[in-house]
Amino acid sequence: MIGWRNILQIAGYFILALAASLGLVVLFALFNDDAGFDALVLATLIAVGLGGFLCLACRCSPRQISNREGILLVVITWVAAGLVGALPFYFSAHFGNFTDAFFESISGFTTTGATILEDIEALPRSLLLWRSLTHWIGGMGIILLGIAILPLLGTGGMELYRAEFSGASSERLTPRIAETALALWKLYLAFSVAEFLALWAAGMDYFDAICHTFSTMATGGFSTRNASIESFSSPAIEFIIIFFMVVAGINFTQHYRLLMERRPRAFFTDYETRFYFVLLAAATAAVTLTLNLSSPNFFEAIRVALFQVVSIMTGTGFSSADFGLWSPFAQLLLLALMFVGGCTGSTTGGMKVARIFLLFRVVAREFRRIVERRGIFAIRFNREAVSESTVQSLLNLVYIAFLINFAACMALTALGVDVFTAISAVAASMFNIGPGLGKVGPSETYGHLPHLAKWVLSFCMLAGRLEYYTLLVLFTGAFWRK
Amino acid sequence: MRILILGGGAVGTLVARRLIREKNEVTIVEGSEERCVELEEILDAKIIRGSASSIRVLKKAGLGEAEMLIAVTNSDEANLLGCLIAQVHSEIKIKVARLRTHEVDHWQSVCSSEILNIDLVIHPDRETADRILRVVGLPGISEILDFAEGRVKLIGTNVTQDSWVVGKSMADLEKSGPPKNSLVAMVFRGQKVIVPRGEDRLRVGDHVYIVLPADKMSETLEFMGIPEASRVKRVFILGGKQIGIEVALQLEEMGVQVKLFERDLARCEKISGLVETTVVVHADGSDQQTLADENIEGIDAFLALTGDDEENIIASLLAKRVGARKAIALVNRLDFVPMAQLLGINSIFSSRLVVVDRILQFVRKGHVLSVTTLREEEAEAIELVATPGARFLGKQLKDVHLPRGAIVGAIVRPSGKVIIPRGNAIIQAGDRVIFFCLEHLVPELESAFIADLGREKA
Repeated sequence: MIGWRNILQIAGYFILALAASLGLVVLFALFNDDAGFDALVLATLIAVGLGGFLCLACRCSPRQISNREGILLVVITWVAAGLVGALPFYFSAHFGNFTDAFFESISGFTTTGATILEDIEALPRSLLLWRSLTHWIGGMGIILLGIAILPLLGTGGMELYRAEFSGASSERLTPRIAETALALWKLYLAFSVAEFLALWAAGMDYFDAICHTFSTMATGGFSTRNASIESFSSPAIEFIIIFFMVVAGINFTQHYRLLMERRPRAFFTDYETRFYFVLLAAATAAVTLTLNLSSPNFFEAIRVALFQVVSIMTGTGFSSADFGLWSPFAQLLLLALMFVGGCTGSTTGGMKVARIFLLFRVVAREFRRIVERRGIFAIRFNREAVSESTVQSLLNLVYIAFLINFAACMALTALGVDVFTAISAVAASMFNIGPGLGKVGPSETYGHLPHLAKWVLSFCMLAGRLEYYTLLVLFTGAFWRK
Repeated sequence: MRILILGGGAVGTLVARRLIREKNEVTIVEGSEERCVELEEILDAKIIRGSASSIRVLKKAGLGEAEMLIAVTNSDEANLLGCLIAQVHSEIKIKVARLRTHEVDHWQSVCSSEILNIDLVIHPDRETADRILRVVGLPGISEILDFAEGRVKLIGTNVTQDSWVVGKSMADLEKSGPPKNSLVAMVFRGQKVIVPRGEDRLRVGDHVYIVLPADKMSETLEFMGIPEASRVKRVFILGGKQIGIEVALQLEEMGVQVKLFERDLARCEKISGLVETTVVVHADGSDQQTLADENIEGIDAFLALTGDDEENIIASLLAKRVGARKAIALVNRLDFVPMAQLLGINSIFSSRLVVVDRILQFVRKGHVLSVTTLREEEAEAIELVATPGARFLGKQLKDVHLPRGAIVGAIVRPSGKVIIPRGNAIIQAGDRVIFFCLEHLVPELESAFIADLGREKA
């Protein structure tokens, strides 16, 4: 049994919360006499109306949310966020049709950062702010914010937490789920304030600093400039952004250990964090070498390589150079990093470093098993044995990710997109990166793709953000059976 | 308060749920992975999978920050080890452990020694045995609870078909001239809990709780048409588990003839070495022929105390049918309780609930004198001392707007005078207040009678 009233009521609250954040952007537009004002006001009114209607029409005393209801609530909320977020874009004259507006909005909330806009700078500043704000809200998670501040999500909170938060193990920071969610959001906010101040000090104006902070911490990728970070041509800004992209790609549980519990050892001995740094360093070194052949300045080559590697691996998608022009090897390496992504429990997309690490160990075990036929080998992670059911669900996840990936690529090529573009567009969407390669590279946009392809990619973005199962399970008959 | 619970079984879960509702932060250590998944779903608590006697696991569970440890795994050894680890590796102030061993008396001194410093040791079998013994001789009474050192009693009774109170409303009862100072506090009907008002009528199958001053006991029983206590002469006990032996030993001392049925021969031989006058019968005590052969006709009570809920229920029903005056069953599956009561079993006890009561009482110590769970976790009887400045003090009861589902059952003045209050009663600081309410109202009511409770907890 699904308690529709209960979940629609809660979804109503979430929509009202989104309307409130839209309201902030309306205020910005009002004070700056911005061209996006009308579209934003209209969108806010509709969001208030829809959210208010759901809250009132489905008013009931809240009760505990079941597993199924939790999944449904998460999906409904995310789709609703995509729709509500698209309204201001749609009402402004800058997006041709609703497909484009929705694509931009869902790309924002899922922190993908893929855009259909040819000329970003032509957009009113208030809409640019909203674009970046969708990143920031979606980065740490709409639902997680709800758990932190809505008391009505008591015990059912864990179901929601798991359905939305990437790779959420059963580990909580604090015994109460609401406090865990609040702690995560506080950390997120603190990092964001730090980055804003750093960017501001490095010479960005406050508007660009806010927008880029939102994009960086959420590992989104929307910029306010056509040429992304390249247009600032400031190494200081690049290093600040690199630092915060790396931070955003680390598990926030580890940040909590380091900053709140002051346990640096726990932070630095975590396998995933270590492996994350190793991967970043190795990939940067490899890319630098390929670049150095054509670039006279070695240190600049390192910086450019580091920026692109971090940006792609964390799924941010900023660019400080057009990597579409790089050697095929470097491009393919970046494509591989798209699949990896950042750490579990971070704001990044991708398969996540811990899973890749475990996958290596599973493969290694298979080899040992071939040699030692009667041997029993446990997979260990952070000095603890990983249960077989966890290994199984890991393998399933990898399998389903590749399955969707492949299906989406087929769909795109059927719609007339070339193979390399299709593969990279799907990967960049599903792993919430943003710019891909080929015709959707950093100097291109997704605008020229067929309508249907944009919907396919929107679906991929949401599937990736919610880690496949949460979204896909709705398409199974078993979910709807009593 | 940060509380660490070892063991996520029935008792651990019940205690955790209450403590969470009272705004404590709870972490549970549980060994079974499957159980951990379940716990995650039903409790807003941090669940750590691992052994309760592992130092590493306990540290991971936040031993360092916890203020209280409740060890209720199903192994005595693990509980004791957990407490020992806490004693050595943490500053935890309060430790509670459940021990099942029959040597609990000897362990008491070990537990309270400086090595362990356990503040409360709970022996479920003994506590349950105590509760059972109080009602063995009262066929019509399912439960008796004492408050204010026995000056106030709460009795539970089933409304049976032949009782004259069936169909009577509270107002009717009032008119029939009940003993002064008695009050129907709560009625359990199926899954529902009712705090009755004037127009509510009693039905067959209702389980009724009546609060009364101790000296009005016999009058009240007479009024309700419940036979008075007679001297208990013969009792059958089914099941030779520890609780059965405990009850048998205590009944022996009271001069009761006890027959204890146990199917396992070796166990029988062991028990016969422990008891004095009790006859240990090596037979299936849930078999009608056996019971008839052993002269069940006219026994005062049949106590079904095996470890198997279903067997206890079936056997007590059978015993009732073949002539036992009273049937008492040990039922640990709490969802069976309402059904078993409806079927006509006089008293049902759960050793789990008894443990939960003891723990909660201990946790709330200081301001609350006693806590008793009435039926699963739906309602509680709370006894506390009202403190100056509390919200409900100095006003007539009818003006304080008690929430629905709550009732003040008795007030005991510092002089010892017992008042079963009507609407015009006024509670003063220093009074003992005994109230009954639905479980979710407990925190609200406690803070209404005790000033500063909020601040104290924060």
